Amino acid sequence: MRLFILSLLLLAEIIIESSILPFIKIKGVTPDLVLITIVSMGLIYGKKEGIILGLIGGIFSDILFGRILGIHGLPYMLIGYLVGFASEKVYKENRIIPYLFTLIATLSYQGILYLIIYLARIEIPMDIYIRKYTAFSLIINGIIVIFIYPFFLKLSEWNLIKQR
Amino acid sequence: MNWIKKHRFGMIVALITIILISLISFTSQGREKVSSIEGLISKAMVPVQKTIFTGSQYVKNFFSSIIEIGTLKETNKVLKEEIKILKQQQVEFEAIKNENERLIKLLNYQKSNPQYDYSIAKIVSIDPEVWFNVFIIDKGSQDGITKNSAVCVSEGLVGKVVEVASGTSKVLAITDTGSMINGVSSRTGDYIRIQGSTGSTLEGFVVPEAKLIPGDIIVTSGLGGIYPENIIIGEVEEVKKKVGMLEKTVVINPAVDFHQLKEVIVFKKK
Repeated sequence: MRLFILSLLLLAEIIIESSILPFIKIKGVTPDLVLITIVSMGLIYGKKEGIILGLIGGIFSDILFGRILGIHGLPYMLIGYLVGFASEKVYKENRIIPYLFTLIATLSYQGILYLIIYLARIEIPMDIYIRKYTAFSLIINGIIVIFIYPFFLKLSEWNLIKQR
Repeated sequence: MNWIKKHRFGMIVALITIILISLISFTSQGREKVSSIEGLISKAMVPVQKTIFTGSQYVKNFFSSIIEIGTLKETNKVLKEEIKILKQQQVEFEAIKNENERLIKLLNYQKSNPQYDYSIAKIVSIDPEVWFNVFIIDKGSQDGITKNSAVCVSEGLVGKVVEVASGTSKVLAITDTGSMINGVSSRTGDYIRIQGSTGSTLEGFVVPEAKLIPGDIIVTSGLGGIYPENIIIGEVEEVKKKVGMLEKTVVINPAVDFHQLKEVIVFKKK
């Protein structure tokens, strides 16, 4: 049940990201809601949810607006796994932790993406993208997670989500 | 077994990673066809995305109009300024259009009366003292205008030149009380002496035997040497016979609307 609801949430976020957020771009950058959600979920629930939600979110993004299957799925899943792995060792109610994790996740997401693109020899000028937008996406994702993380924490206390 | 249980997530992740990498490498070089499952999911999502996209466009427009409120005053000011300029231009345009029509009329008149030299003059001022009966035109002796040249428009006779300067001339309108024309009724051939009168009508005097009736057209007779022949002066409005007078009095409505004059034709003697 928990996974189902959270998947729906991710799907909604992907749709929002692809339809509403392009209108409120800041310096050409839209906040990566899916990444933020995966990081938060991984922090709150742990490895399993991190992996599954990362995979679901990534595959959905790939299908809906990606050309290459798995290009979002792989980094999202890895990040979900790593965050879930780390969440066992941190205190998740802390306010700094999700912020820090989001920054690291944003960086590593783009790093992994770049690596994939480089290795698969896909012709996307990723280096230009990174040089131009990484700083902004760090800032924006960092700001968004501060506001959205308390909401996710509250959501985790919801009965439907509490039961496995 | 214990090791596998402990690391099952890691192994799952590794497995999925391998699958995903192979997926990426399969799909990275561009696909001709999208798999049926993907197609189905995309298809299902399209209406939702479309709705939200349109919706968010509305939202965006709404917000941008809110943002624009700050600049509305400025925009309004600029637009009002523009409207002012455009109105001015429109007035100018109308004026030019009317002028064009008038000039075309004058041109037609010239074509149908080729025995004279003409020059087209603009009215530059109207003598305020005698109100509408004397006015100044912008052609003078430089343009070959002499004293007593006839002045008319395509509708009919306007007056004659009474003073000539080098660049301007003074025209005495036929409605002025000091003006005297010899006219002839085009229907009956009766000669009429026409004077200006008070108001915008002309006063004519004919012999009592003349059979003038209202509606007769009066044209210039050509006698006296000032005015050429057959220029329309006006239309008979009323024929009065005063007791004790030797002549009948005729009220003539001039053919030219003196309030509308802008350009006139000056007849130059050849």
